[in-house]
Amino acid sequence: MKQSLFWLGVGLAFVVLMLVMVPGSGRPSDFSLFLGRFHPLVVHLPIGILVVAVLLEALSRMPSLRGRYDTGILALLYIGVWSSILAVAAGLYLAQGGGYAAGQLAWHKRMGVLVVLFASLAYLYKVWPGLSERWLRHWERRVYGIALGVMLLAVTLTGHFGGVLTHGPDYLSRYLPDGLRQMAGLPKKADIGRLQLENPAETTVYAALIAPILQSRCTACHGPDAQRGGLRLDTPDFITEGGDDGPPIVAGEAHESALIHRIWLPVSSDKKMPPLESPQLSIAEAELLRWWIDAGASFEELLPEVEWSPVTQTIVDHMGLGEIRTGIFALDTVPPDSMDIVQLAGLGLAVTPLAENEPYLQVRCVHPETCTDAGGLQEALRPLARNIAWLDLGRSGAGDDLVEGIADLPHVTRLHLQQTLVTDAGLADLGDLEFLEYLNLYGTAVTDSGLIHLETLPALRSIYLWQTGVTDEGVRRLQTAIPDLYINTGLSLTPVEPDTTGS
Amino acid sequence: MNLAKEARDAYLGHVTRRHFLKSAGAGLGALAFASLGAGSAGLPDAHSPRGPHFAPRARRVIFLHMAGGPSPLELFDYKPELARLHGQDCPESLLEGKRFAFIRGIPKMLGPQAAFQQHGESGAWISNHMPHLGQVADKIAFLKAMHTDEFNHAPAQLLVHSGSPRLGRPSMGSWVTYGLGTENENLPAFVVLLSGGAAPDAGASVYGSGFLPTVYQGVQCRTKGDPVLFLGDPDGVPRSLRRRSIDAINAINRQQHEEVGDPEILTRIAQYEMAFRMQTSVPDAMEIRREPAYIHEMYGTEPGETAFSNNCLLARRLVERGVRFVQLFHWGWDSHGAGESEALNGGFLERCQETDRPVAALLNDLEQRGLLEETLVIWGGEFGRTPMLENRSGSDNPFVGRDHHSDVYTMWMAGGGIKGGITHGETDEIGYSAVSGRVHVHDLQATILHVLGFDHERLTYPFQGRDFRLTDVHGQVVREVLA
Repeated sequence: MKQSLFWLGVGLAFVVLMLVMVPGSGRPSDFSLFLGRFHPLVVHLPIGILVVAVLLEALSRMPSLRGRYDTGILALLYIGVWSSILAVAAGLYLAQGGGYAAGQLAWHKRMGVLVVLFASLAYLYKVWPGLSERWLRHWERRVYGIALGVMLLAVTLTGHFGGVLTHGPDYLSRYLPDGLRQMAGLPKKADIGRLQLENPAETTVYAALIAPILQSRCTACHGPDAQRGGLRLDTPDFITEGGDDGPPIVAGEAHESALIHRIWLPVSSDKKMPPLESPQLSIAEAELLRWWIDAGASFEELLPEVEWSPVTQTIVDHMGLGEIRTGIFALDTVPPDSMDIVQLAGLGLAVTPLAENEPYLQVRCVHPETCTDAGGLQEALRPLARNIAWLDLGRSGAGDDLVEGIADLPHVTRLHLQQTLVTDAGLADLGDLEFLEYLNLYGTAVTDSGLIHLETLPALRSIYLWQTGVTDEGVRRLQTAIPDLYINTGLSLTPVEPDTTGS
Repeated sequence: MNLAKEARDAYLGHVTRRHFLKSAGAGLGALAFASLGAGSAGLPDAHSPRGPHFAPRARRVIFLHMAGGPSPLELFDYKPELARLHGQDCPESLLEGKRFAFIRGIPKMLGPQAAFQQHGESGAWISNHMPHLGQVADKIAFLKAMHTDEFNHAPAQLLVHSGSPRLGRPSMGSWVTYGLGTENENLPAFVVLLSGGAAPDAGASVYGSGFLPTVYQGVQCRTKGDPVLFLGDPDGVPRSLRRRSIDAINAINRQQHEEVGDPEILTRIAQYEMAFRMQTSVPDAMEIRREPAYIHEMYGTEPGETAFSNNCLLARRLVERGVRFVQLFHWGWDSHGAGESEALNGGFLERCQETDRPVAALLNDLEQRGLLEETLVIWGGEFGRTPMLENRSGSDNPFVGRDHHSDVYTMWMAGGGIKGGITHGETDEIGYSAVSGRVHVHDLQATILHVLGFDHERLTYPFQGRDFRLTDVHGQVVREVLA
């Protein structure tokens, strides 16, 4: 008894000693890290042994087998207790190396210690069946069973969290059938790795693509729970601020950014990030980070504004980000009725869908003489008002009375009115077209005073004003109101030196 | 009811206009086309446009084909190192495993036969042979590492326009009109304009409809004489009589179609109707004399003649009127140097002078009318030319030229959906091989269809048991040039 207590003391002292960091460096000793690598080996002993003990105990409940396995159960519990202690010790060494998600690690540790405690309790009761009688009276018969039950539960949970730490959180559910996945509140199998964004048009590149990478690969050690090297990578402010070695990224210059250097270091380097034993970035993730930094490392840029590189385009296509709906395509517009289309086409207009599976139409006036009956045309346009995106009345007989009706087509993005009878009065009605991007007024009688009505168009990107009454002053005013606007007032070739090589 | 009648009724159920409209819920394009062909109701599926897969960036295409293979080394691909090597023997390592149309033995290197200058904010290198084009350099995306599989004119031209070097496939213009339909029922959706004194080597197949219904075939228009041959009414036949005879012919044709169901009969009906409408619409569209003087000045046109400049102006007039695809061919870029007309210091310079001003004018004119951002303009030949002197006869020859070269050549795109002022692809120091950004003819085709709103892998037509497409089993969209 004395001797075993002595060895127990030596063992505990060793375990504690090994957990002390090497003085001065703040890092665990290589030897304890080495011992830590035995955790995966040792850890499966108590799992198997303790479960077998429980199974044998369950078999013993059968009257014919009562008491037949007691010696074996006792031996199994004894080995189970000691091997679980060894597993916990090795686990603590392993955890010193870092790189594990803090929350899951804490639960893994707690559950591991519970296994040791309840396995010990079960063992003690098995050795001294009368142990609890002194304190527990009515409970004596149940304590052993409860201890075994809690132990089994703890073994299961410890194993689960261990698996999550090693293989990642979706390891178990990866091949769960879709029906069960849905019951568990998980996304469909086909959607794994695909972005689920509520409003992609309003989401930043950082939030959609960059933060999740940092979250899954970096913030376990560089986040709220731990700040290795004084660095946090969980918020834009912390990323900009940097750690002990300065800011990890240089906007616009991936090849100058420590974050990229560390990712690409060979695994033999102890500066390699994430460390060898932690889950590594995929090549796609590394490329997204590099591309994002090279593109200016913006925390504000929205997904629709992004200019993808061919490689990143391919990556995000596979993530289901291929198409970000903006403008009219983000709206929930009811598809047009085919009879309304036939009616409009009957007036001599070419009506075609803008794209398959879209509710929008392009409408073009084919004959110059057809668009003169403003009343009839407006009547035919009305049921399709929300469906018309491109309206080309160029070179037609359209006049101000017809343009009045265009004001009621809220989703028009491109509008051709060139070489028509439209005047300033007609433009007065167009100021509310919030999606209008393109307006062609060349060869009309519009003047500066008509342009004033267009200053409120938020989406307007190009306007054509050649051969109109618009002056430089009017152009200047419109440009000031909408700085991004491309205004064309006509071009011509200026004389150049002729090529004289041949002569 | 006997069996034959029942079968006939069932078949008619499929082709009547009512049934057609009822089943067209998803295919709005079908409806729209039915409305377009108002005179010829009930066109079946093959005649209705597919409609774009996604919102297009361009609605129309003008393809300026410089037939013969213009030399990039005298136009856009500036190679000072080649000037230094001028007159030296070509190293054998460059010739190993290569086949040329004419070069045999060891040729001499030929330095650039042009002076180069950078133009615009983009600093694009353009030779002094194209002074006007320099002014619009910032609208252009150069593809400097194009490559093709063929080094002879006819197959290479077929590859560019039909995606296959062999006969029988529909041309790009046919695919595009099959996909998008027409915007103007009074004009052909696909118009072809020839200049330069010779038709394309591969003949009308480069604008043929292949196995697509022939309604999608390119219609050749002329600037001299009748715009379209055999369109005018014979003497003594008034338009009213013409109308009545067409009605009678079409009634018979429709009856024939009901009996045998051949879609080509519908094409024939549509062509008669189209021809009748074209009798008034085409002369109007083709009459360039009505353009104001400053436009003629801008393009450098020669009214009444067959000229590339006239065709450029026509191209603008046609897209303005809703023609989908205007295909220009200008022959005479085959600068071998075997004679004056095909020498870099002869005919080549004339071709440059003939095309420089009108092409620049076309881009500017489209832009000021607000059409450039909706019209894709493509310039290029069927292949490039070697950095080596060809010298076929081996004798002293005052004319210099280069042989066909399929490994690398320059094309450019501008307008709808294209980023201006950029260069994609790079060649080595002598312009012999691509260093980066290689673009195959199929990639160019995929990009053109993409800009028009099509996934090139999904714009297909079933023929002989499988779905065919313009890019066959190849093609990747060149995203670098997209706006």
